[in-house]
Amino acid sequence: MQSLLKYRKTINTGLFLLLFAVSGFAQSINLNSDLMLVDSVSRQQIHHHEKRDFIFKNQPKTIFNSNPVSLLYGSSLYIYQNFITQHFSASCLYNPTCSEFSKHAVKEFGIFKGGLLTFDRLNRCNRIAATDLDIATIDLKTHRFDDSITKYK
Amino acid sequence: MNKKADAANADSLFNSGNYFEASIEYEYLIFRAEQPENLNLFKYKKALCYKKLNDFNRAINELQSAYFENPKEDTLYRFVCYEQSLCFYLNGEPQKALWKIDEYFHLNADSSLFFDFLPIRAICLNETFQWDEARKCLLAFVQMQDLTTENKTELEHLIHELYHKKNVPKIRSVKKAELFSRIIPGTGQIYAGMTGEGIVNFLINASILAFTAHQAYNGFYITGYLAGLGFFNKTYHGGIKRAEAIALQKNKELIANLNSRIIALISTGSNSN
Repeated sequence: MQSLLKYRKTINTGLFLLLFAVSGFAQSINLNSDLMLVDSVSRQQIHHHEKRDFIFKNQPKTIFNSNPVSLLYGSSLYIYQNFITQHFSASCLYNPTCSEFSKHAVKEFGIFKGGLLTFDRLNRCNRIAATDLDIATIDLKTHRFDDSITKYK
Repeated sequence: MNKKADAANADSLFNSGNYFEASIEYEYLIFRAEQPENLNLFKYKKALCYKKLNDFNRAINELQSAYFENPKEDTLYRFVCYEQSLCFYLNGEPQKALWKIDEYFHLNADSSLFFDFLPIRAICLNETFQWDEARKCLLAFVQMQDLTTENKTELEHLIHELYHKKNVPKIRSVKKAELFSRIIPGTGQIYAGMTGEGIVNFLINASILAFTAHQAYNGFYITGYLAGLGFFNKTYHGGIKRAEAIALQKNKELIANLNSRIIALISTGSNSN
């Protein structure tokens, strides 16, 4: 018993190492699984130019989304987002972008209030307004100021 | 005894797939670690948690802080270097991954330990368009594998085929795409592989210029300048920026396809092992 106490420290270190081995966490390199990870991550990084959906897609027809004003708004937004925006040099200050914000706003609040919020947002998307924005709200991935529709609920 | 129980708990969390919880446990162990070996081990394990969570930047930061007094003799150094280079690549920094791998190769005379690093190095070299180096790297990897001579010859033949001049990805020059779009709007997009978008861009720019000329011809100079040239400025520079983005995207796609084929080749090789 005394000899056990004498070598307590050695036994403790041995136990510590044994626990790692038993827990199945020995250091090892699984090259195949890492290469699979490389493949899947590089596939994710390729952003195919995906078509953006029509605002009222898969929604049951109601007076709010099938009246001429809503349809005209929806189709113009669709054309703008899919065929026009990529030809402009301007990039939006905010995340989500103004067109995406407008889409969310109209979906959430309807064409009238959504339209007003869009008007407000477009007036704020310029260099003068940029001087008054809170730097703490910058999204580090997109480098844009966060201004989602949830703020207006 | 508590430390051992905590370490076992962290490991079991990791093994059961609770990576976030495991990373917190490892952080606690790092805080309490007294010996530098344990500290590095826990940092390495914490980085593995972040890797599993696809947070490669945090994994790199964790591994960067691991300090090895004697890297040549510490076996953990190899694993840390490997994970660091892999995470650099996954974080979109192939140059840094290459730098880390080369640092490891430089410090170690035993080339048998390079085995796991070689495919990662080849993939990084592909990203930087160094085809010859990448080919050599893969050939060295095949040589180091425990395969029959027939299998080795077949794999080598496939690698040579993959890097043959006609099969190597035709990389789009970003500068060329930008220059083409600057000279004739839309041609940069066509060069980068988006013909339809290039034609649309050309038509938009041409119609705006025609509108400007029409306004000026009729004496509406201010309308022509503000509505015409103002708008043209946006579409012209937008086209240049877009051509660059498309060329970069196209290159990424081509390299990803090449890397996929290499990964498939390596997997086939290790399965036939």
